[in-house]
Amino acid sequence: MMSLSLPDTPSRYRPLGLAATVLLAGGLIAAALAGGGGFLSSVAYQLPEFGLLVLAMALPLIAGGINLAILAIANLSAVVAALTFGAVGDSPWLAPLPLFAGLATGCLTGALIGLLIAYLRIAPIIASLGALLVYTGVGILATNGAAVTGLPAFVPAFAGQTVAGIPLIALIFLAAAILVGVLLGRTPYGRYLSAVGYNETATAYSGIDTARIHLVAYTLSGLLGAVAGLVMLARFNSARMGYADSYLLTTLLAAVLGGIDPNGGRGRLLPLLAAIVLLQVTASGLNLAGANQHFSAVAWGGLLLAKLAYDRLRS
Amino acid sequence: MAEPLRERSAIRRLAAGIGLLGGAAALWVPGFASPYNWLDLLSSSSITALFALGLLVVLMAGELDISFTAIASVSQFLLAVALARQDIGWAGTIVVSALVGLLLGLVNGAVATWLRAPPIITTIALLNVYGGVLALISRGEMLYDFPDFFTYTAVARIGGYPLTLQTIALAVTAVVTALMLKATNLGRILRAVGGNRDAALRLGINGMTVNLLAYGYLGLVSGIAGLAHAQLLQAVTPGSLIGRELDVVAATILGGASLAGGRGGVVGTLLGVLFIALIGNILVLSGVSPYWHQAVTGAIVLAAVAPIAWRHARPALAEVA
Amino acid sequence: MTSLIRTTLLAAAAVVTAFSIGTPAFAADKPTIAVVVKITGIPWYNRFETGVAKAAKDLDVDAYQVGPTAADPAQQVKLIEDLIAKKVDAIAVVPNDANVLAPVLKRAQEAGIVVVTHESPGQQGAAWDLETIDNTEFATAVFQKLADLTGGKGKFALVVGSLTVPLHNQWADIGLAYLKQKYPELTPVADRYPVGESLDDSYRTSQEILRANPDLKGFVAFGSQGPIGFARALEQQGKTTKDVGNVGNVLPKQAAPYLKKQLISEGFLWDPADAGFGLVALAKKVIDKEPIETGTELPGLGKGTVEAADHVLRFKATRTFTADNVDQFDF
Repeated sequence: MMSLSLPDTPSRYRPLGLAATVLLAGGLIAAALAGGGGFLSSVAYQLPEFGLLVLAMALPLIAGGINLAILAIANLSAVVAALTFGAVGDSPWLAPLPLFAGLATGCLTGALIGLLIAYLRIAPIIASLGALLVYTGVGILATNGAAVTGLPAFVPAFAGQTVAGIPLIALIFLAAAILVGVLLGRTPYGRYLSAVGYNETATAYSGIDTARIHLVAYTLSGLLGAVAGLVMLARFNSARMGYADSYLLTTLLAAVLGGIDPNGGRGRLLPLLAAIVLLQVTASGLNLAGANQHFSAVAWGGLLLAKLAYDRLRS
Repeated sequence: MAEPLRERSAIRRLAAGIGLLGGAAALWVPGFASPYNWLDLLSSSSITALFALGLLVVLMAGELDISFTAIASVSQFLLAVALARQDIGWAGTIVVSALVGLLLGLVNGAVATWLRAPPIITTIALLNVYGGVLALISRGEMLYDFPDFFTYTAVARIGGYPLTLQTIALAVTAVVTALMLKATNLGRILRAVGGNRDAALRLGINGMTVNLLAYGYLGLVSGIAGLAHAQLLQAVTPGSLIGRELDVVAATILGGASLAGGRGGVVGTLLGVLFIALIGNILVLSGVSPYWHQAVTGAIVLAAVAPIAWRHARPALAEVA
Repeated sequence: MTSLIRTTLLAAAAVVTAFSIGTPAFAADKPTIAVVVKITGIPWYNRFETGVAKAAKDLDVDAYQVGPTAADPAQQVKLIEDLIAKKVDAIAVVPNDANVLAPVLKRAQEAGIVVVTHESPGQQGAAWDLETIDNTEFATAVFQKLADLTGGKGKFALVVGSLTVPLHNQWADIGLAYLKQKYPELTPVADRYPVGESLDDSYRTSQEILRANPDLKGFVAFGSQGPIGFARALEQQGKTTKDVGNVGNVLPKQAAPYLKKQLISEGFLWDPADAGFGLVALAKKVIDKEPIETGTELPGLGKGTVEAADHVLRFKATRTFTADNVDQFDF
């Protein structure tokens, strides 16, 4: 067994030990079956967009909410960025403009959900579901549902760039993850976010502006979604509503496996990061082994239930 | 108690919306006013309405289940397999669908209650498990080999107008659900549990039993919805129902039910479903470019849901204090 | 905290070990050809897979088919990235989106992997593309049938699989241009309806179209559920193809009862198994560095023609299904 059962371990990390073992076993078998060194690089290219989306899902979950619209936000931000690229042309000097437009779209769309939840007190499921419908509709109307293409050549080239052998997009993810980690673990905001998720009423009574905590959480969720959208824009050389819509289950799974309490209140970066990496390794391992993708869906669903059951038995 | 008032307000709002839309469409949209159009609308939206009625009961208990489309898919697949082998007649058909649905619904109830995680997460996982297993077993092959009795479009005729299986299933389910909520203890218990779970549990109500009843009922109704869907299309495509979950949730909320539990009624739910179906019907009949459909539907639904959701939201802190 | 870091290190060490032990497990004499389809677990690609399996046996290659659970190009990118890591000899792909796949297919080629495509003429990052029909001929044949059934005038409804399926919309464009030129009095009731892949949507929309247009003369659908949905709507309203013509893509087994009940006039398609076989055969020819030229013959498809500009190898294998011949087809 893992060293996680040492006495100094806080009990809440133990579930991760189980999950890690299960996933590692699967990943190892698959990796051993397939062999080959391209595996790591394949994982490193696929990890960033998935990891960023998990971070975007994690913040609302810690606050006791949920954001069902992260993929619509990611795609809408990418569409806005792609359309702006079309307007400003191929000059790399003007590239910050489309990037800014994409990130701003993410912040705005995220903040809008936050406003609905924080000030209109609409339940997060309904607020983000309604936002999902509208953002998708707006995106389809803006693009006729087709992919926006014709990006300057440096956009797809960006996705292939490496620094010291590590893909640049993986470094972007790492930077975002560290920032989120610092926010959660080292700032007052991180403590308030957990407090709101754990018990909103008590937090409010202790004089904290809980509405603002929610608003910031969903704005950041939108921003992280937009970064994921821009990574997809570069990797897929185009933007379209509907890319990667099937990630919703796996982002939830990664967040819950990574020790985030789905009822809110708890979440730390390192276990989350470990869950993201292990899940991506296992997914690629299953692909290498030639597994049916429907089998993967059953496995992810089953794993999520198993993790929830494990937590329940421990409590 | 303010709940009945809020329900009435949701109903009034929807009735007004439907009246306005319908009135305008009857004047300007060709083919809309025909009674046949209304019967078609009723038949094709009855599947959504069935799901919504089942979901209403779960929402009233303060729970949420979005795996009902997968339950309906599993149940209609098993039904089609059974029908291809043996002519089990109407009675057998109904029993198979209802039983499969009920069983999976009870599983959902037990799992969701015991895990104590937010039911949306638990049931997203269950949706994937059911849907994935179904896809693996069926390989997505379409089944369309049904005995004769199953193929008649109209089960009966009233005054020359066809009465379809879908309409009958919806009418029966609506009456049963309404009776259950109004005239039995279960209705009062659901309102109590949904309204304030802790207080209700302290009064000696068993939370697990209530949840099993609610999830089980949604499962059973979903099984029937799967049957109605298979009969309507005369084909079973595994998984073709999956992906409609969130639309049903939106329609049910539109009808006055609340995610916080305790609120909602049959009439409001049916009007919510009708309202959304009406928008789609008018968009197609009036020849609006299909590029606009999703954006228009999304915007109208959000505009209609937001104020209702707002009124039904958790009370602000100031009100509690 | 320390134990957590230790776990992470352990995990990393274990993964690295796995890579170092992992050696290619199977013999390398048979070339490996991975076929990536648009979506897995639907009848069309199940039939496609029988062709892939047949090719594996007949041509003595290690060929297999994979695909995502939804028609999502992002999932295809992931599958292909993992196939590059697996170092297969050839990747044969039916793209959900040509633009999205271009960068990853280029990376596959840079890694020395042969790339061929189906239904994606001029695909960047691929050596060859296999086409089983001539799009202009195919679309013209479907719309000519519509003109024959309606007497060349009146209103008809047009359905495609979705607004973003390039092939369907290309057929629709070709057909509409053809009608405008030859049968200007035959006009569509609205823009194209994107409901052709879902029986639910095509049935509901067909009912509504019939209600709104009692004088409707014809119905054309691309996407295999379109004609079936329209046939159900006709049946429900007590009409037949004598009242409204109904043509388009269908799977013959599913359409057979409707063709016989005069609810579908005629179906047009090709056999996906031929395409699956042809795609693997094409990949093997490229691996073996065999010349690909006009006259290259593939079983089931006949002789092909090369269109050098788009590096396309094109066959003309359209099948038409009528009430009389539909029982001969086993898919």
